[in-house]
Amino acid sequence: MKITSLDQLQKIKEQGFRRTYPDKIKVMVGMATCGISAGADKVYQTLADKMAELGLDIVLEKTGCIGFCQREPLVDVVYPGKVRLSYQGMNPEKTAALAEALKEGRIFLDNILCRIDEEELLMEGTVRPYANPHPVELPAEIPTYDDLSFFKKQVKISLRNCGFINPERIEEYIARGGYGALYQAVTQMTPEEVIAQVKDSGLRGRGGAGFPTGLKWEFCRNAPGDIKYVICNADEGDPGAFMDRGILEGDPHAVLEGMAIGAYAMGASAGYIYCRAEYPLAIEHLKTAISQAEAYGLLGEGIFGTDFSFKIKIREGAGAFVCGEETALIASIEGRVGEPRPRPPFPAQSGLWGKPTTINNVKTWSHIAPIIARGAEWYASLGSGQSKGTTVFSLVGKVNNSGLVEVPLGITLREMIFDLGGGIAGDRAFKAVQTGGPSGGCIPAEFLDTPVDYDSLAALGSIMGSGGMIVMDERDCMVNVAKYFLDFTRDESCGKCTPCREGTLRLMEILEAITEGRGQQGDIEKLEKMSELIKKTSLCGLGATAPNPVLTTIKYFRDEYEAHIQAQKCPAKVCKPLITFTVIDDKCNGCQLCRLKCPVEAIDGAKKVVHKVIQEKCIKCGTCFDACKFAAIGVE
Amino acid sequence: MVNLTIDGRAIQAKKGCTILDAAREHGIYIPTLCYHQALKPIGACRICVVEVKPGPPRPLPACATYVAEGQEVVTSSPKLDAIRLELMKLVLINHALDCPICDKGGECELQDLTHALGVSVVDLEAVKLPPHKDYVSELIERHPDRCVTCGRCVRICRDRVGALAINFTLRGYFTELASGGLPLDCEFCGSCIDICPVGALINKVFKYRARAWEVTRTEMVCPFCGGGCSYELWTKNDRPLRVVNYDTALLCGRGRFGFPVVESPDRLKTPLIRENGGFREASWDEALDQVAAKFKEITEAAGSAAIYGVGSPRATNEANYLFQKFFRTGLGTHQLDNPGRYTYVQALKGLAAVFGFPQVSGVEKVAKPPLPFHSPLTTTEEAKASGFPLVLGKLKDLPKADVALVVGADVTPELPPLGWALNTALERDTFHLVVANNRKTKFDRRAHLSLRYKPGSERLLIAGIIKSLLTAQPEWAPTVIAGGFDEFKENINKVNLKDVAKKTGVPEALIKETAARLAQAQAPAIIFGSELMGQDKGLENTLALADLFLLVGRPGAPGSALYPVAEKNNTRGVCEVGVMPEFLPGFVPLEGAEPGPTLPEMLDLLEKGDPKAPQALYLLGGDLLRQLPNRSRVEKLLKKVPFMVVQDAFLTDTAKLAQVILPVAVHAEQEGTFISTDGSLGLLPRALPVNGVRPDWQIISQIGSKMGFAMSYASPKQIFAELALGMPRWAGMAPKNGGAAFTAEVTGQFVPFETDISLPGRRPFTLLVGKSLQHSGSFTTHEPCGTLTITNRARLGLNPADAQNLGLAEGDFAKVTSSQGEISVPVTLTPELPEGLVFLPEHFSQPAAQRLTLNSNLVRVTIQKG
Repeated sequence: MKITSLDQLQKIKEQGFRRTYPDKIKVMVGMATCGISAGADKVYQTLADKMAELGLDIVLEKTGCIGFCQREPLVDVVYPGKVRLSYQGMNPEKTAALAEALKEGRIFLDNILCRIDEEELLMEGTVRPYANPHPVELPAEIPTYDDLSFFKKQVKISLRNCGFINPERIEEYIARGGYGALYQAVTQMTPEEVIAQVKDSGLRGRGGAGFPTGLKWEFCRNAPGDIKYVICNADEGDPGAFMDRGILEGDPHAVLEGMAIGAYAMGASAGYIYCRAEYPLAIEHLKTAISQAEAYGLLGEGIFGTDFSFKIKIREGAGAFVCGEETALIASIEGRVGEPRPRPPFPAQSGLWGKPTTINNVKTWSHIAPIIARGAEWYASLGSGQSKGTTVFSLVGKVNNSGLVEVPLGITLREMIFDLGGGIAGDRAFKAVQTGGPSGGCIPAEFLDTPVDYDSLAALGSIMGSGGMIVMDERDCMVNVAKYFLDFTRDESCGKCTPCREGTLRLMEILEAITEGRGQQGDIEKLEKMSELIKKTSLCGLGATAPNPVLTTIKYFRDEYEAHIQAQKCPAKVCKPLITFTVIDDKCNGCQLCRLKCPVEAIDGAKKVVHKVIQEKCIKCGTCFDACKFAAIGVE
Repeated sequence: MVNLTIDGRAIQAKKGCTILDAAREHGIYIPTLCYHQALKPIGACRICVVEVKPGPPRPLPACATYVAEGQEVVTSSPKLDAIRLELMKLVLINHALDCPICDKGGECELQDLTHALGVSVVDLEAVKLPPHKDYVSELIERHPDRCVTCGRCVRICRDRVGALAINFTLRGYFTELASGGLPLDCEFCGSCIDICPVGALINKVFKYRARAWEVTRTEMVCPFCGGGCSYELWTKNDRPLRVVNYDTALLCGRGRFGFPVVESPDRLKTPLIRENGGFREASWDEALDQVAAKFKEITEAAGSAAIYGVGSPRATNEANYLFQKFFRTGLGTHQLDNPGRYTYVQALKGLAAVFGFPQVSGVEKVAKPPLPFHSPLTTTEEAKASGFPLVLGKLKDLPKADVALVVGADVTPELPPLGWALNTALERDTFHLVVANNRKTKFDRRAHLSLRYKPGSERLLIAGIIKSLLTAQPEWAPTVIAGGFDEFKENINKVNLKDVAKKTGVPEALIKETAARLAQAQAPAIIFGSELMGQDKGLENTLALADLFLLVGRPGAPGSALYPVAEKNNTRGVCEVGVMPEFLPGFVPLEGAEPGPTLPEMLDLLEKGDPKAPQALYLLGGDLLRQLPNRSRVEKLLKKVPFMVVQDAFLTDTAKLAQVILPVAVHAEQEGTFISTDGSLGLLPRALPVNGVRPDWQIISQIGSKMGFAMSYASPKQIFAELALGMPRWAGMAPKNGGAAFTAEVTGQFVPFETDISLPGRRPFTLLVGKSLQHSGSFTTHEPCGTLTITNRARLGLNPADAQNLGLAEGDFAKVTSSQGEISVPVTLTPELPEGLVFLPEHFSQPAAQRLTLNSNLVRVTIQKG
């Protein structure tokens, strides 16, 4: 059935509402890639088996990632009229027990992460409460969703539906206000009005560079030509970043609706989603979503009975990092080698197949529908200064709570790491946080109170980037960290321009020398000089930002570089050639554990005799350090 | 115009040009490496970075940054110099630096840059990359360890040649030029060699033969097709060593590797006189005396019409002009023709019938004596011209067309520069290419519409296109002012589109779409080749296309024209200078005198034993037995001629029938000019010694003088001056130039054409005799031409399914029989050919393809194993 009127959309919405909020017990398993890799598929299967076995009359659904990857597999159970509970770290045994409890009409009390008292219906600006916030059966100390520091400061726009709907059911998306914004745009607004809303909202490109989205759209709309394209950049390639994957897996329609609104505003009739082939689940969900939207006439010819037509195709990228760069991405869609070209002409003038083209990131597209539905003013009220709205980060590294978080811009790094992230794992000391992935920089503790926005991060020599946030603690060697990121960009350099092709490897070689104890006086200056050259002269953003990790680590952790070069020491005790393992005589009781575990027989000793590391044989694998129960192995 | 300053100098530049263009135009040096004027800039090497205000804080590549009003550009500063120096170090870090044995040494852009930027030390170390050198590929050698990853070769191969034979593999630091891990299997044009700034791609023919600074360089027109390309011939110690084109880098394989024909051991070195059933060497004096005496004897006995001459599309304008003068002025007859009669002349006749003969007015002599090989005429303000030459397109304008219809031409083998022009046109996405052919050709891959018709059905297909256009738009008025439209329309009305679709094999929908595209076109071009002209109905085929052009052509729009392929270096020139019985120089129709027989008519006279049949033949080169259809018949008839003189460089099968053979100079052994397919003048300067042979013009002049004709000339320059004085349409003509522009008055007359496409005979296969990519005429089939390493003999192209049915595998010998004869030839499986169509190249002496043909390049044949 093609939806051509508001009534019809409303009808589907009601259907979807009944699906999303059934009268029965509803169990939702977080089945995004993060959940599956933690074992959610087994949990789901157990539930399905148990349902059959016990004749359970409940609704079992898959849902996307709610964000708290650290605690996966997550299972949410809605006890109608009572409460919605989120269970963490589920496994098949616990799941079986959960099923038994449901069979017996009990609330399952193990593994509770939190209770969810209400859910926000963002598109409508309303809240849907679950009845009776705290049923008597539930111990009083169970925290609410908002009590958890991980969720407390989050404002979910991109992630509005992730973890709340089954992403493979368009009706559930519509139930929560989906496609209402598209209806509003194409039937009640002129393209110019749509662009004005986006401009007024202050939304900036969430791919990293932060170009004002409305302005980009206006350029494309005003570019001469009948044929125009919109593209969704889903070529997420930063190590440790999975924001786009989370959105595409958990709420693909949010992106499709945003693209359709954009296409209407810019006069495009075709769109492409360029998604890396390493995201098979995201691609599967996108394909399902596109065909469902087409079936309802929300994509395709004559959307909502108007003369606006828009089709979306998916292009799978082979995973080259550089294909996230606009011009390389376009080349790749066109079937050419994914290499960037100089701009101008910008894609808004001459993009895909020479036609005016707008490329926005997954996150940017997912913000469009809420902006139209709730208005530019509402959106602009979020965030701070020149950085409006929210953005999604994948908060990873040495934090207690790693996962996908969406926060208003302007939140401080400290809040991100110590509130949402729950502080550093193992109570070790915070050392630095890397924002913007391999293109960004490492920010040290002294700047923890910096607000997370485009301009503040740039001022520190880093970038906002697309949303990777990697937290490092005292056991991370900053030279090694720089080397790690350089190795990535060096490997991903397409090889077209000289500075990036040749220069990144030079940087890499110098960093290798330093971490291997072959560093020389002047190496730091060489790194700085080469970095400047690469930054200044590279053809595209990959090269121009590749030296950032090197430059920021030199800027903020120069002493670590100097220690490597001059004292031949790695202060974080990471760089193997610079550390030695020794037995601390007065702690060793001669238990022989280290001697037996050493893979290269580099430990000498006998029972109840103090052991000794034979330095010539030692390969610095650290096995003895980990094995010793008496902290008798020292590292220098 | 845009105003900007470069290094403080106020400069005006064209809008849309780059900073580099503007700087170069004003003599400001900006170093470059990946940039080449023949390619679109990619801004990869970053050597050309300049500071631009207003602009970003970082420097920008001059090659890829466009000029803007009020811009301030700095091209040289300590900061920029430092950047360039560091970039050069990075480029050099993994360069082989084997300059002493590198072919590029002495003319290497990297050497020059290193020197210019003063890079004295490379204070960086790098892991060495494995040098995957390619010594295996034919003609082209690859040294990845010298590669600077500028991508110029990849771009020229992809964007200009359209071969896509090489590309980068791997990425980042390990990026390496490669051809899919296999030896090169490409067009072997070698354009990648000339575009390479370093010695990463090497010409194997030249390798180790000389250093760049030792050679003498002579710019000359390429004599291996009608494209009129010019190249630099490198000679050392009077020997030709290499051919380059550093200007656009584009040459085809024959152009680049065909020049060793000059040093072929098969060359004739002295005149030969038939004696006792064989030939004996003779002195020039003896041979020329004998020819003059014999000619005199024959004219005295049988009249001057008893001598018949055949000019040559290989020979220069000057030689051909003298040749026709020998007949017209010397003997006072019009007994001459050229072998283009079977192909190109058919097209000219068709075009002349529709567009009329050239009329030129408003031309006067130049005031100062002209430079050598410059026309002594110039146009006045009232200069006007009309007639068919005005609808013949220029290759440089072709990319301005918006639709090109290619019919009956495998573009690249026929005329490589035409292919390059199409590739340039295809860079614009508003350009539409329609390729119609009886088999899949190179440009089918890039065509927007691909029409596959049955062999020989071209004119019926065109009739279908015209019918379809007039049915869709009954009110359509021809875009060119033309008479006879109503009658023509009536004729076309009889054409049944369903019938056309059935007989040509092209679906009706495609015919209609082609018609619609042509009707919408604002600058349509029509390209056709010798495949279509070389049929017995070549004239009718051309009429169809000329009529179509009257309907949709827009002669005022640049690029909108007809492009018949003049296949050989001077196919057009030999016609322009009047080596045809019915046309005087400049396509002036012969009036007040009876034209002599055409070449086929002359053969008919011989066959009939007609008293008007010639007693003597004077052949200006050209192996008629190899070129003309029905070889057995031609051989039998030529043998009937009592006295035959052949001027040729080789002892061809035709020459073997002669009484006297006069060895001629080829390539740069002679001076002179050619007219290319698009009417521009190519200059051949003398760069090589003649070693006993003589240039054609000199031989003709000497025979003429000995016969008492006033034909004594000092040089081709003098002949050109005389020739060009009589050619008003050549006004303003100069080397590499097609002459002045005239106010064109294009009008025409619709001429109905025949649409019967039956091909006689019932044999199951149709044979097409055509062009091979690596060869042009027969010159390139002589050792040691590089072209022979790629295509060393004739092979019968056969669809794999046909081959399977016949039990033939690649390389097996097939017996091909027609009503005219039989040959044995190895087969090569060619999926591009449809079932039922087979292909033989025309260039080789053995097996002789023309033994099978009757009166066309198409003939029905039977094929058997063995």
